[in-house]
Amino acid sequence: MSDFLKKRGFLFVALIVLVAVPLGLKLLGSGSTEIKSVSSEKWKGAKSAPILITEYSDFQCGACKAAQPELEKIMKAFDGKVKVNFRHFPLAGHKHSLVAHQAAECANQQNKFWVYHDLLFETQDVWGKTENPTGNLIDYAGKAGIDLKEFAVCLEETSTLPTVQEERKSGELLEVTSTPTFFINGKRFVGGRVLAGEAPAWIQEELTK
Amino acid sequence: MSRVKIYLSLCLRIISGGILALAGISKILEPVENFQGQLAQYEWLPMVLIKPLAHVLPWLEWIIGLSLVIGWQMRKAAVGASLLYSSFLAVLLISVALGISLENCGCFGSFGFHPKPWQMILIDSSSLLMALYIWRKGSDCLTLDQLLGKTNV
Repeated sequence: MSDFLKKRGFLFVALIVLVAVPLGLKLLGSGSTEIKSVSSEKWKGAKSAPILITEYSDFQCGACKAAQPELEKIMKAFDGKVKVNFRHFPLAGHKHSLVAHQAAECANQQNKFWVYHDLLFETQDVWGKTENPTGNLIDYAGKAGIDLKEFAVCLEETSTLPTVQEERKSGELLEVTSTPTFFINGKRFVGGRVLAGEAPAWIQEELTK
Repeated sequence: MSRVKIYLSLCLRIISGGILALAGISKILEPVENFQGQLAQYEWLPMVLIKPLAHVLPWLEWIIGLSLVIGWQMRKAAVGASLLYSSFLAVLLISVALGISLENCGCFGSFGFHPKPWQMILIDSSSLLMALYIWRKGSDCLTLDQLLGKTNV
């Protein structure tokens, strides 16, 4: 083999390693953004709304709390045209997140999910920083008008853990890696800033289809 | 170059380039919106820059990092790596100075390694020093440039 061809061969191999291999891996690994239903769906907004926002969120995540007003703004701006579906995505780095999500699911069993959801975000700095948040979680249930006896049993039995895990798993399948992650009619928006900046135009585009 | 220096430069090349390549590939394999979301955490970065950066930066990290590891266009790759590490350091230091709270710098996508900003400042500074060393002193051990008959590229 001539020296020229040998050099060309090396360059060709280098090019494959640098560009083609990651591209191929990306194509092989790219998952679907089809939102599959889960056993405990939590909806907010008009049922017939053409725009579906699925939110993967963590109650102990500061960015998720900060994104709530942005989501509210979108719901107001597109009133009647948008519905929100909440999915649990407790992050491993957040100590009390898992129990908070289980508590929210216990609230959901008494149809008080959204009131409790708002309370958890409002008080995030309080229960998130205590050693044992169980007392706080029960207090908030009282404020939300939840039957406390039933709630305490639910929380103690950890019967809602599989639901929380199921929703987290559904997020992992969609390659959710950080919170909050939103899917609006299939398109992914990560974080409140991107949601506020890009989602309105996308929703408008979807509505004019 | 003494034997110690030869192996030292090889190690520095592999570490400095490897970190960059790992950071790049971890983001390339994820949906680009995930990295876009991580970049948006840096509130002072304008939104118009975030989308193009999210598309381009992981590829730059991967190509420059791997070029350094395999020793292809090595000196140019070392300059590229130094520029990248300097920019990352600047972004992190500005964010820390502005008091922006970052739970995770977003540097390694979802590869399971989520360093805190101060840890990343340490990693970036040491990698920058390593890349600068390669740029100044070169590395003649196991390089593609050598195989291609080039020296001190």
